[in-house]
Amino acid sequence: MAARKPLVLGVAEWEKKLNEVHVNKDDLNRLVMDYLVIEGYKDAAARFSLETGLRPQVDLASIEDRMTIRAAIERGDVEEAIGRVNELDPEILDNSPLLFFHLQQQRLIELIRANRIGEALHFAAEELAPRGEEYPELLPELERTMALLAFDLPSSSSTASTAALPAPPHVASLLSPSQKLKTAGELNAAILASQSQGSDPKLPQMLRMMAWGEDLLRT
Amino acid sequence: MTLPQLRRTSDDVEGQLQELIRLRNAVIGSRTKKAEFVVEGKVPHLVELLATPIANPTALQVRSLSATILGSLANSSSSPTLLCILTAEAPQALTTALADVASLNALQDGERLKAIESLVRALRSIYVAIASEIAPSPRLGLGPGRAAAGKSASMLRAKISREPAGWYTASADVKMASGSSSDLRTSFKKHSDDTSSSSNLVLLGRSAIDHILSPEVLPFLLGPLFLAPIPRHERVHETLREAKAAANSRPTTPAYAAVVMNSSSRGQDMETASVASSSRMDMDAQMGDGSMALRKQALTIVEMVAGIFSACLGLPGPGILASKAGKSGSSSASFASPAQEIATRRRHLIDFNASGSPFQAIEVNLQDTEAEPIATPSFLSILLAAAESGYPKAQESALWLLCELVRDNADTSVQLFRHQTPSGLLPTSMLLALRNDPSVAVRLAAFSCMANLIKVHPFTAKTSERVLAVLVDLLDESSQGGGEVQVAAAFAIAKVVEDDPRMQAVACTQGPFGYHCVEKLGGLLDQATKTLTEGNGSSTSKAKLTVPSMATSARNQEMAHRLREAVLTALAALSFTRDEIRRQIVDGTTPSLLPIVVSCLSSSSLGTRVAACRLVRALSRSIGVLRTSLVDAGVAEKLVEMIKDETLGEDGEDDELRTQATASICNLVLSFAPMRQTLLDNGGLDRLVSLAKTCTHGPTKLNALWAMKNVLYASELEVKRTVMSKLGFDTLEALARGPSSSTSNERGRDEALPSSLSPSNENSLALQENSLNIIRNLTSSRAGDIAFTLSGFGGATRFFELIEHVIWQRQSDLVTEQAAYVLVNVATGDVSHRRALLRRNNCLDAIVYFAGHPRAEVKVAGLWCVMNLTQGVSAAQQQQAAASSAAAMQTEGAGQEAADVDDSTPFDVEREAVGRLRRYGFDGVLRSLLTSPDADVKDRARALSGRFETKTVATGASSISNERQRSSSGTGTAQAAPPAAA
Repeated sequence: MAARKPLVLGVAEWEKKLNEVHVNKDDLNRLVMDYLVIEGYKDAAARFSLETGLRPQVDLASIEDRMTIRAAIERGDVEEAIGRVNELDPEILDNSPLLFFHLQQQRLIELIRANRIGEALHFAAEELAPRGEEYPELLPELERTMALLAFDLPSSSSTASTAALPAPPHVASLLSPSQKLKTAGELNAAILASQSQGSDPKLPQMLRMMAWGEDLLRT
Repeated sequence: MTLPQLRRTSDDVEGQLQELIRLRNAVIGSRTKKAEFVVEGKVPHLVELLATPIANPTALQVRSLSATILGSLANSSSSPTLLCILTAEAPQALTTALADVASLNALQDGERLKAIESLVRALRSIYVAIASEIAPSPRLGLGPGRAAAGKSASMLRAKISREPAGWYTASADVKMASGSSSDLRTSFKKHSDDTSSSSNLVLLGRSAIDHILSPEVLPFLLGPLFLAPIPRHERVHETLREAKAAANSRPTTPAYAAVVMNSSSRGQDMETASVASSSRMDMDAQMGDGSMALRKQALTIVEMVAGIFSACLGLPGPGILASKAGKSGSSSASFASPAQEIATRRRHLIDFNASGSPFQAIEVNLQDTEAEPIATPSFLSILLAAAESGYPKAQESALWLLCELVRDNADTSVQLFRHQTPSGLLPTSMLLALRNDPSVAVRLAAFSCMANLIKVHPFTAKTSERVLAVLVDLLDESSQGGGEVQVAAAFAIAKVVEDDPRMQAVACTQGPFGYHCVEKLGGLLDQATKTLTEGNGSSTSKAKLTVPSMATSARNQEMAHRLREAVLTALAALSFTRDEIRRQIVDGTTPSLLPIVVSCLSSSSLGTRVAACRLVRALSRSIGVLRTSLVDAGVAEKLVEMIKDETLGEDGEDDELRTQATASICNLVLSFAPMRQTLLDNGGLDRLVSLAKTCTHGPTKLNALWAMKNVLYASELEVKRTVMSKLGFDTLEALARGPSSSTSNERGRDEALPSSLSPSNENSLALQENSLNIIRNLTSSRAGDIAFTLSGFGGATRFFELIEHVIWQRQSDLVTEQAAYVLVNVATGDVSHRRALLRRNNCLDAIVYFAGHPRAEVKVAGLWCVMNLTQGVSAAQQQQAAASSAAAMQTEGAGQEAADVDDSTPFDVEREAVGRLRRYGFDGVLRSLLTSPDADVKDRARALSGRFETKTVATGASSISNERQRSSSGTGTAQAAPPAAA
């Protein structure tokens, strides 16, 4: 083994070899189904199931539940999302304090965004402060969120440049859509875990793994 | 945001539902809201809502929501909250509601499952909370201890400053709801009493356990297990198939369906998979509320039910506690012992099958890859199906229940082996196959279960090693559960190696193929200790930056404490028998573990202290380690401090600590003389004496006596005097007389204990045995010692009366053996002692009885006794005897026994012994012993036979045998062996 000369493959050759690898059609279908289910493409999953004769391992109604919850967060209705999660499984939020904190944080962000400052302050004192006390590691994150109150918010009516005191990027980023997506993703993963589902689709994982492997080979 | 008010009337049903939903969403996740709700005294209302008349259209929804809220309140609740829930009799209301659901057959499947699920979920929450409140967790150990939870604010239970956490919260009722919580705090502080609330909670908790396991309630809990066939996720198919291939060692086709066919052809109640192939394409079945959704919901119910029973299976009901509190009707009171109670429960669970279920099963379409379910599934078959279902949460829960069922129970394991899993595997093959499961939690549960199984059932060494290998790997799993996995894995490793020297050695193997348990556990101990010091010392941002995942939250701290406890327990189990492992722990690790272990002896967490004591005790079994490392590390002082700790209460947990500490002291005082001085100087002896006198906890009392016995072993007369001046001969006499004659006062005390703690007959015999061993050590090994002892007991007559009394009780051979050695030692005394013994007819009878005793050890003692009695007295001995008996006379102050001494010449004593013994028929017994199968007995008998053959003792010839006998008589008077108590 050790004496053998390392095998060197050109890129083209590599591609060719890759194409020669036979992937079981059934396995491939499963991977696709896994992706569709976890990412919440309910209709596509139903259609795919019909075409391939593959049964998803979950009932498709549960996909819909998750998507409704995700949508609620994305439009800023955290309360609605919390209600639905509790309907689905009342232990999720009780058992993952970090997730619960992030949802509450998102709610605080939405209150600030809506400029309901009084409510925001009350909510922070009433709900978020106790969480911070319980889990000191959450305090920096809470501070960052509260910092939003100190700055002028970029409003849609006026351009950002007119704001007298714009928030520094790491604070302002809390208002960005990606923050919502992050929270929604975290919640989605928690729901999946509670349903004994993998929380990451396998397909992208494998692609990442392959890309990493190819990178390694290239050097 | 304020909490919505609960309406008791159901006029506005829709409004009531909305309120409940708002309330649910407010309390879930928020400790503050939960506490607020409890303080406002609303828990009883919620419990009332569980009994909403079923005629009401929204009744089921109202009941489900109330159950969900109750469950959330109980989820990692503070003790007062739990007390409040139990006082409101929530478990009883929940089981009643469950019975109502069983009686409603007209419900839709989905509705029914939903109703059952919310009820059993709430029950699980409550029972898990009860279990963690009243008993140490079998998985996570003793933890901080009940007392500590109240004392130190760093523990998990006193969480947030604004969360009302005092007991007053539990006694809040509706009248007070108007007051603010701070008013309540003051008004209730003086009324509520911590200890009574806490013991009340224990009582209510145990009653609730009793309730749920009673034969009347059990069917409503177990019935839901059989609602629908357990589904199986495709992700486990491969694993199970491989396991099956390995088990059958015959070629299998890759298709899973073939496996099902195989298993169905194996004579199980399974039929060939009946596949409704049309259902494959049946879009409606998939898109609509397909049967899969129902089956998964049913699986969730299985998960909850298994969770309830694994939490409380091993916890005895209130038993004597209840009758003491004047509550009758508890079924647990009728059991002779907690062990019997738990055995009965196990039987009830295991004997249950689908035909006993009061619930109507739902109709489902089976999937194409499945066999028909067994006609009448049993309780165990459901658990096995859930264990291999591929749905991690259900698997985990079912596995933990299996783990509890087979814990220390060979019968259950045999029952389990009679089953086959739905995939056609043997239960153990299935469990072992789960080593490849991607879920850490499932691996942990499966192999904790295996750890229990291999302890009650003979498995090959190879199997044990496979179990160990997986558990050791789990020690490296740091990602999940903040250390919970390592804690449980370390406890399971302790279980695997316990009492198994071979596995202990295997676990500690080093080198490239070794398991490196000592290094790994040591690393964890070091890591947990660092977490704690960083957490306590300064919660500076610097510490947080370096170890972000190990921030200072109470939860992490608690886990670190539990990890230390688990690791110390595992190390103690590993080092219990093997010297080289002790060496490895003491010398072979970097950083050195011993200083950490010593610091653990004064940890704030009770569990850590107990486990550290255990490890010290295991290490102290090696004299080399003891004399050098342990002593240098300052263990002795810490242990003495520990038993002197007066703040310890009288409950079970603190007793465990004292038991372990006194057990460690036993070893330390035996082979390390300076420890005796430490004990004597620091007032430790006083504490031991008071434990031996007044402690109501059997094992601790025994260990205290044991420690004293070891202090006295081969001690100077001065030490004996000191010890006895504190212990008192009267106490010793009472203990030595044994259980039948102990004072009524003491017995009354024993009976006041909860049944689980009351010393068994066995324990009182052990106390008696140790007391006699103390007397044996007191009478060793010089005439002065004997004289001191005799006079202490009020003279030879009273002394012999006591020993004779014990011998003729014939309570236990072990007690008899110790009593026999007391006589052996007295027979080594001077002429006066020997003669006093010879003149007790009863003692001579006893000696002959010893020689004819069925137990070899007692025979040998009898022979030693005769050997010493018939020993020629040398001139030196005589002088010594004269001197000491004079001293004895002085101390006794009464010359009655002494008068006997001088009435014949000393040289006659051995001849007199031979004569008198012969009259009692000793020579006949002796002859029969010459052919004894026991080598020791035979040799002793032969050595002795010469003395009884010739009429006179050949004093001339005795000088040689004299020499030999004296040297060997050293072993004859040998005293207590080092303690080997478990």
